Amino acid sequence: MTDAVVEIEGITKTYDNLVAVNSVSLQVKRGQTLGLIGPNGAGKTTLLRIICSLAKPDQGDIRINGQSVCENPRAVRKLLGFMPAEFGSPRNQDIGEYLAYFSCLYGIPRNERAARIREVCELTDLVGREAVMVKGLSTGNKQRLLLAKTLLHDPELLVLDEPASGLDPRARTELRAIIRALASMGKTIIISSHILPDIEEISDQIGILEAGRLVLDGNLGSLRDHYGPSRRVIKVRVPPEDKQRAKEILSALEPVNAVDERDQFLVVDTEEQNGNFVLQALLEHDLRIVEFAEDAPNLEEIFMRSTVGKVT
Amino acid sequence: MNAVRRMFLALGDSPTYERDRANLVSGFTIGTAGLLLNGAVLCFVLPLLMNPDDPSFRTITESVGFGQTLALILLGGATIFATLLIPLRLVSVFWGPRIGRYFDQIVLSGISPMRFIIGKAMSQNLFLGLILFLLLPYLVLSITLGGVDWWFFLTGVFLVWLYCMALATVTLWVSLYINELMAAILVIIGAAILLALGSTPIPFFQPFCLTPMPVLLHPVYETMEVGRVARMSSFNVTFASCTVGISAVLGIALFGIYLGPLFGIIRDNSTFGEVVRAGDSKRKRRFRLRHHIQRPSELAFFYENRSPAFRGSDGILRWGLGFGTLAGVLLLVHVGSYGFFAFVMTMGGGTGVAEVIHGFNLSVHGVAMFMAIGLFAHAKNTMYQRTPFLFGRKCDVAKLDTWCFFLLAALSTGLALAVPMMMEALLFEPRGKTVFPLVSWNSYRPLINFAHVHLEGTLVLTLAGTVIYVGHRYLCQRTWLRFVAFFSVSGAYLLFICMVPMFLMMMSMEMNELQDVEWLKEWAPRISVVSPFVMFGKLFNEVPRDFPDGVSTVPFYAIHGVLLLMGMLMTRRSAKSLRASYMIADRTESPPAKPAKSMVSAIAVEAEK
Repeated sequence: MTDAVVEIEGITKTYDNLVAVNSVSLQVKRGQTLGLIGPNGAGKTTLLRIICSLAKPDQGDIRINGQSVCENPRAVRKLLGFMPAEFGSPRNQDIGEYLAYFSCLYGIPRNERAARIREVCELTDLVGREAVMVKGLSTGNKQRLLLAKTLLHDPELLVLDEPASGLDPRARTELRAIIRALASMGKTIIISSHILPDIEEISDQIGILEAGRLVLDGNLGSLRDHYGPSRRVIKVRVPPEDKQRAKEILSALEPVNAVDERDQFLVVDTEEQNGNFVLQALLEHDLRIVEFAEDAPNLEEIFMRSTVGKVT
Repeated sequence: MNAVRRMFLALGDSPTYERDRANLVSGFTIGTAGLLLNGAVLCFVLPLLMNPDDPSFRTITESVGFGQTLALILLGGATIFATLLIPLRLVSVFWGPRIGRYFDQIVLSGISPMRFIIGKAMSQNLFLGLILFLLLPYLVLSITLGGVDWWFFLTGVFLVWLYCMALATVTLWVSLYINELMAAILVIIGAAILLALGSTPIPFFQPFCLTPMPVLLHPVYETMEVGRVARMSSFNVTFASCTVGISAVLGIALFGIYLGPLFGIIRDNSTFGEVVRAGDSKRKRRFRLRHHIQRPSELAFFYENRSPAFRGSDGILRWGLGFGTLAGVLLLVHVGSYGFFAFVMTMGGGTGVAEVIHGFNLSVHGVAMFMAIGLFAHAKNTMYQRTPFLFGRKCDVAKLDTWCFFLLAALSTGLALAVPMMMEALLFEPRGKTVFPLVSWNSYRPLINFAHVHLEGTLVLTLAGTVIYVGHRYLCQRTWLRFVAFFSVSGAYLLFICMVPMFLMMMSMEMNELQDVEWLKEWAPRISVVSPFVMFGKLFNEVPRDFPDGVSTVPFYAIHGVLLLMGMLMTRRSAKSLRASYMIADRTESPPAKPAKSMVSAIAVEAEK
């Protein structure tokens, strides 16, 4: 028996002539966190909605714990908790009423509801705020509440669509901590986000989607290998007036594959393990170096190199 | 037992019930309801208090008692108040989740539609409780001012409660098909009409026993002259008939909610509605009249949550209900007409009655055929979809439509032929009269033979209806919307078969310029009998004076026979290619894009671009 909780096999979804998801195949193992990244319109939300049985694929199938999403959507829904990107709630409810409403929807027995609500409130740090009206919550607290609602029926698989969208750095850090805690509890998590450092930090497996296709899939190590096993990234910061000259100098060097401008930095893509040749070349031309760093490529580098900015 | 236990559990543990309860029990709601209700009751009482010597009022208070009258006003007021407010309170059942954008969450929670919706109906108990609570002071007043008949009062309260439940359930049922606000308004209007009809004193038996009004007004009518003259049925019979009537409506509405909306046909591998062939969603969207439940998650909510028994017998439920309803109404109309004409005959009806019978009979047959044509057809996207008919056995939608239409056509034709014959044997002959008389309406025309009218009229309608149906089905194979096909074929038939030959004949006989054209004079009447209008004109002697007597009706049958044959052949031919496309487009709505050979090559291709 396979260890994969989620098996996605050749999923294709079209909206009229628009191919939103194109032959995507993936597997997520039990207890692992899959991070889905991609530009806007890459098909992340569509894929997540298909996983949750909220949209129907034109081709392919998804199995969750062996149950087909297409053939047995009701059984699948019991196994998963979906946190949508958009917050929706009934009118005029406080947090306690909101969670009670959804616990009743999920069919949690009456005598267990209060304990379950308390439990998810503790997990999402909402204890003591049960009487606060949902309408007046900050974005961060709305996301906490949405997550609490998603956890109410204790699902095995969590599908989180852009959970960190619109959050400030503190809220993001707290949300990351909650997701890590959930992962440590053995939950299988699929999360989509634009915030690459978050995904890099919490994901065991990463999938990069572009124009509906899965262009890369694997753990960070294997993505780096795909990018080039021996590749290094050197970031150099020079005064703005010297930036163009420095770029020309570095581009002309033999071991350099490419030089990109990113923010205030020049990012040098090379297979040379020692970055001293970059320093040496700049110093030879009497250029002032403000900052210098060398590292293996991070997720952002991999993302930028593997996508071309095409949207469906 | 389990099912009963589950039902009670569902009734008592619905999220919508909990939410409504929380909203209802608030000072603002209670205050507003109290204010409105007291206003309504005062509006009833004030005219009486202003003019206490009003003879009608005095008659009622003297014979029924003031306390009892006040109790009647309270329950009547509560009924009217509930009629106006309960449907409106239910408007947000689908709107709420739509506007609040959490319908998907409801679908994902796995709750059944019945458990979700029924909570709304159950919460009306609280609303009714609130109404009765607010009426408590008046009740105390009525007990003090002469007392109440407790049997009357308790049966009244019970019926008002049953009526409120039925009102709520019917509103929710109608909400599955049309916009909720529209549903509420329709139910309010319908209920108001039934309340008015139920308030009228009808002799022997009050048939509009779908509201508490017949019971509430029974003591009043009983004491008044009108009641004594009209020979009203007893209070207990009226109460029992109202209980049965309202309970039947409640039961039907509950079953309707359990079935969910019945407009989608589900393909084998999907439960997301009726889109079944390549490109359907795009083409249909251009013209589709949107159903109320139309988003994929809404359709999924209802269709996926049906019990396996229902899913396996979708065909018999859907077509069976359509056919059963139409056939039931048809039977009811014929039984009703038989009863009515039997009553007329006891009052001494004669030849004039026979004419009305044939006119009515043919009209009913025509309307039945027309409704069957519209009901039993589907557009090209679903026509050859195979749907589970009974216990999982599958059948083409087209086949079900054809069978239902021809069964209904046969039933309607049979009834149209049989009912006058039964009347002849049972009502007319024993009185020495006939339902098939020979009548002269115009001195210059031959006698009208109503036996001929009866037989040929029925046949003409059946044949015309069948021709329109075949044309409709042919056009359905080429259109995305059946009402477009329906109106196109009906319009074309009306214009080219009914009107043009008739106008040709009329012009040839009425226009001076054309009266001398010999060949037209000879051929126009022969051609004109192609039209069913002229056929009926001929049968009822309603044709121009110059219309020749012995014109053969063969052209009508010949043209309709040819049209029928052509329509069937064309439908059969066109069906082949349409069926084939169903086989190909089993799972694919649009052709999928070519998958990339590998991820690395895909990136390389994109980079090159």
